[in-house]
Amino acid sequence: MREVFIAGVGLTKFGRYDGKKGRPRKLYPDLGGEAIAKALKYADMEWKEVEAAFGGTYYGGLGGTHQCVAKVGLTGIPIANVFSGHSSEAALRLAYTRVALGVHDIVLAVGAETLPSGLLDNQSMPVWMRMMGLDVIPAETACHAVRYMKDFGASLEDFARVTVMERKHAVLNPNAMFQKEVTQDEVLQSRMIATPLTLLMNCANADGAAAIIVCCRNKLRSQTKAVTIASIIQTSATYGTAFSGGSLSLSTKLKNPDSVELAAKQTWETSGYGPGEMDVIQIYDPFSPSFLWNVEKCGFCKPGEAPRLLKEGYFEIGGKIPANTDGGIMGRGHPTGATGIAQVAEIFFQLREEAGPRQVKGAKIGFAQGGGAGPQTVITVLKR
Amino acid sequence: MREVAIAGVGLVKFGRYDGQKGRPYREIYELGAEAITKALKYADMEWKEIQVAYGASMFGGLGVPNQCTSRIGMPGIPITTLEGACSSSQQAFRQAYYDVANGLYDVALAFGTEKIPPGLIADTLAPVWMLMMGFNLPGMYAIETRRYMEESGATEEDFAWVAVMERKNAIMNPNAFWYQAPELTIEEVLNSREVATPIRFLMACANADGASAAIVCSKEKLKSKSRMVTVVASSHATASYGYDNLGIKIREKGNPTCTELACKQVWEASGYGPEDMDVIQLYEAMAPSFLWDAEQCGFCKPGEAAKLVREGYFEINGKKPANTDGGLLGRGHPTGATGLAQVIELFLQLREEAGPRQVPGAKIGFCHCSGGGPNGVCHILKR
Repeated sequence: MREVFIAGVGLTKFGRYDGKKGRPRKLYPDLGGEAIAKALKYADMEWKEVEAAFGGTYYGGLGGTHQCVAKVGLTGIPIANVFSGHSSEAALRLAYTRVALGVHDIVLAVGAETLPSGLLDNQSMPVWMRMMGLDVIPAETACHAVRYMKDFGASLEDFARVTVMERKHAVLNPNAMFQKEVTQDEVLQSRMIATPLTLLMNCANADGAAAIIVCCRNKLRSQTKAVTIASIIQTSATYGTAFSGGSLSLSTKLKNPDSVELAAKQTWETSGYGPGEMDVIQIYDPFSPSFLWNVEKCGFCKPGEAPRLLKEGYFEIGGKIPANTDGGIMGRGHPTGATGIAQVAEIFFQLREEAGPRQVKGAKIGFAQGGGAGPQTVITVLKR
Repeated sequence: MREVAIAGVGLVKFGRYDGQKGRPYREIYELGAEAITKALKYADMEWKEIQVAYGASMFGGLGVPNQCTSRIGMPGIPITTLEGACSSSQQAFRQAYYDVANGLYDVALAFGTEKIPPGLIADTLAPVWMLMMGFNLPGMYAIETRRYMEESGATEEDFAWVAVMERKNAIMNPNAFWYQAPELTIEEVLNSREVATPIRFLMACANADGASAAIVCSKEKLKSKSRMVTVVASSHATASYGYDNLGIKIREKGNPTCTELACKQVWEASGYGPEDMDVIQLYEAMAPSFLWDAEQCGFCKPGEAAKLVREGYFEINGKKPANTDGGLLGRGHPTGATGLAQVIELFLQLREEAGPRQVPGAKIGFCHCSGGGPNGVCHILKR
């Protein structure tokens, strides 16, 4: 397998493009096209150099990637839609393998989304679960959160602290949806969505797009501060850890590693690195408690330790392992199809030392976790 | 790239699983799981031998492939959902093929599953403004058909001939929607109700439910090498400038269609030409598209296809047997499962397991699938 480099990244600002309250109206192909154009500009490449494209949206419907690409130009290249919910990182993985295996030299991965407002329909659950009302995503996470509180003594304040930290980081990121800090009290006192999760412990439905161009070494325009993909791993659920779509059917008896633990294990084995070597990390947290258990499952601390470390500022910019420096999903907003690539994009900016006020000094290796329907997990390790 | 063999295939009979009029009710993930189980059995493999899976569905929504596989077992392997409209599962097959060809994995699974609502299906591929103006799929085909009629002189009767041929083949295919159905006549097709002028009801494929699966692997992983079928080449192309997102030609002078582009690539990559093919699968969600596909894929000259259909050129005992399993018009069109069903028919033909519809001595086959995007996907298989 050859080395795969990230040539360029393009992000639109995450926010709302619904034409309401004075906000601009844009459809997801417009946003996707914009992100692709930015990535091309960053990479200093022309559109005709791109040999294949992978991408996807959650709510856009059919041919999401085709529609985004059509905004830039129709060149007849193979375009495949990876339809995996939150995980455009799965599209990046395919783009990566195609370059690594020498099938193509320059490949694009793109994710774009314009989300409806309110509770999202969880299409990944079997029909009977949806008919019984078990597909409310915050409720499903709430079950998980209650279990986590019981197992490790975590408190609502711990969950609130995740939001406070991510919103603090988001203020430093011009592409983030939220540009204002919140206090712990504000989080705790926001209205209840699914006990124990209050509104500000849930990510915001957002619109936005993200694109990445990957290539082999000799196609890179500039070798300075070149960022390579050290590993990219995708896993799905294992028996007893989830039933299509969620943690509701978590077994109390079986202790198989779930998709996150499995992906982390494979990541450390494949990349040759360990959690202690990561300079900056992106954890997947559509709900603030998921930050805590995901950071533990990925191996950055022991089970039950995350709330204490968080309180000590371990995961803040300037802390021991800076996490979600761009605001994470709680601060950046969650345009589902674009989130996976945005996770990786932030690591890219950090390693290139282009993260401005949120820069982690001397960051050389980074870790980005994405999740999606299935359930599935994709973990990418980048290094400079 | 190393040789990639097809170890096993599985099909769930295409039909209706909606629980109405005495028909069985089955969920989309049950259909998918059944196809996978059949493919495993055919390949004489265990589920735990599968290292990566690509699943496809057009209408199932998110995570449907995971719902299918979790009914068999949950080993934590990478499972990716691909959506390429009507070509979805052939794209899944292509990714599985690539992974094995390049040595990333040794055994890969591709599958497609679908349950389609009745009536006109929504084409969300069209831009919002077109949908708001009442644009629909038969309408799109009608526009293309009009142009084709003008350019080639084809008539409605020519389209009826295609429908009649395909239904005749489907009668012999136990997995087809129209298995053992009475043969059609030209008059019946021409007198069926109009859907979008000049396309009539019996010139359009039937919305169907069904699933298909195939396991590809390296040569070493095959349980038996007798009559081994390998994938010779794969190609995938999309629209180039001059076409809109639906594949409709909007510039007079211009580029090849995505079908022409994909075929050109697959002929170049394989070293074979249309004349070498013993059995072929063409994509025809609506009867007229059989004609222009046959031409664009290079099986005859532009404008010639209609005449050849009438001469029986594409029939099972003809010169170039096409859509021997009934094609989309006879097999039915569960969108997410169709692409792989084409591959499976070629596989069965090359293995000489196609029963009464067997093309004697078929050694090499070609399939082409189209899908919204537009996508053109081609594969060549050989024994």
